Amino acid sequence: MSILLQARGLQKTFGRIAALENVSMALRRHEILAIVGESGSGKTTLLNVLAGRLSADAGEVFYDGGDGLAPLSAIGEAGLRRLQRARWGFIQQDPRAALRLDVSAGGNIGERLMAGGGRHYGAIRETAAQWLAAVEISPGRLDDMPKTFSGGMLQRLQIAATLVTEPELVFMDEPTGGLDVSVQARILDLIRGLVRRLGVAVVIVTHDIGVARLLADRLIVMRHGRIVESGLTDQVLDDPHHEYTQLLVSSVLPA
Amino acid sequence: MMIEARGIAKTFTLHLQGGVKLNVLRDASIAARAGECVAISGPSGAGKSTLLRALYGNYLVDAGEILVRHKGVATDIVAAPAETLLDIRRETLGYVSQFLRAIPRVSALDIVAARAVERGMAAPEARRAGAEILGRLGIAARLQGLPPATFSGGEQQRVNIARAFVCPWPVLLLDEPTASLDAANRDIVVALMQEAKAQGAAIIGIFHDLAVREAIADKVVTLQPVREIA
Repeated sequence: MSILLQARGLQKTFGRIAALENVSMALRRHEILAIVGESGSGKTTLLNVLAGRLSADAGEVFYDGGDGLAPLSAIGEAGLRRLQRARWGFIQQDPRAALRLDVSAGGNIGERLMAGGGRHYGAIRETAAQWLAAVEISPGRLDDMPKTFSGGMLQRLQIAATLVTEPELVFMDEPTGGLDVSVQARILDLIRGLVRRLGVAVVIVTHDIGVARLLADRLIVMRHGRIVESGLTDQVLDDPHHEYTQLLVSSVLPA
Repeated sequence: MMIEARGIAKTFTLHLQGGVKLNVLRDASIAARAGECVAISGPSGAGKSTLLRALYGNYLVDAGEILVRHKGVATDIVAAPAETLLDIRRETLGYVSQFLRAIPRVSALDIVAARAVERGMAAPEARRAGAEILGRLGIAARLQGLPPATFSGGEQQRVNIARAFVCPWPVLLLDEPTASLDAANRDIVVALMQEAKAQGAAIIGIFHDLAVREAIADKVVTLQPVREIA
């Protein structure tokens, strides 16, 4: 599979703190890549730079929209916005920050379809209902306001509202972070099934090694803004070489 | 040869234990042809499981090469990029671990059928094949729809084995496949391995049960502990 997204020599500092130090990586089409590390390791900064939501001080992110790898900076502000709306998706830890709480569940899903050029009201409603069902929310809730939804339902609604346009690349920032453990398993299972079925490439940031093991083909371990180890998920977790990865793996309480 | 490992060395550096180095494998070699079963034997601590995990690319080796015949080409998995190794694992190289890593909410049948779908089988056909192999391993139809997290150790291991045998593998690695099974189920697993051999699978496995080893292995490779801590 060809490379979809690539970072070369990313550098980013916040004040005196180096959030990214010479970070290079690549993501292939249909691949699921997890970025793990403790708080402050730079993993979320990397995600935001890759997604074009934050600019790096140095280095460049490249994306292949079909005509070969090109730097994001060459796509331009409007082009990037279009990309983020139509072909990429971003799932945030807090669905309340991503969804419009005063717009119905169906409206939240339909909005992204309309932004992508959908105009037929009946068809949009139909698709929204299908996606609610796909994330295990009764289509009868289509006209309900998200503020009546539980945290787990809100996260599932965000997933539906993101995947409805069948993006080729989705960024996820701790998608199960704020949820009860019982709800986490359901969300993870949903993400796993939908992402595989649609063939979406995913970059997921998590501090939870179990999440990475369940979802990811490959893993990047970050510490102090640097990539300290990377490889196949099972290989990095079962045979960690770097001191920090060994600490990370051995710090997990067995279930 | 379907799989051939030469000169394998593996040292673990335990950074959290003051950087102690464990030399587990040194100059280990093993190979298997199509239709052949090779057993890895040796005392506890000789590195049997380490070698098997290295053959799957689960452990990174420090020296040596591991050639796997993948789509007709001998490919060194030590040097292969991640995507190639994933492809080899999808198409050519099967592995049965000692324990099932259950996924919450996913039924036994779905776990087994998903493997067949990955290999290109249509979903209904994969479910039929999954139900058949689970049934053969004594997982009743009423259990097949349940997530294996609640199953006994032996039942989980049978789900694990069903997942491996639901489709044929050119090369199959087995780590104690019969460890937690009763005699009847052990015989079923031996029969499955024999059928796989007859279909041309190259099998490398660790079999503590001597009766199993004698029934299935054509050759035995014995490892000796390297035993030296730097």
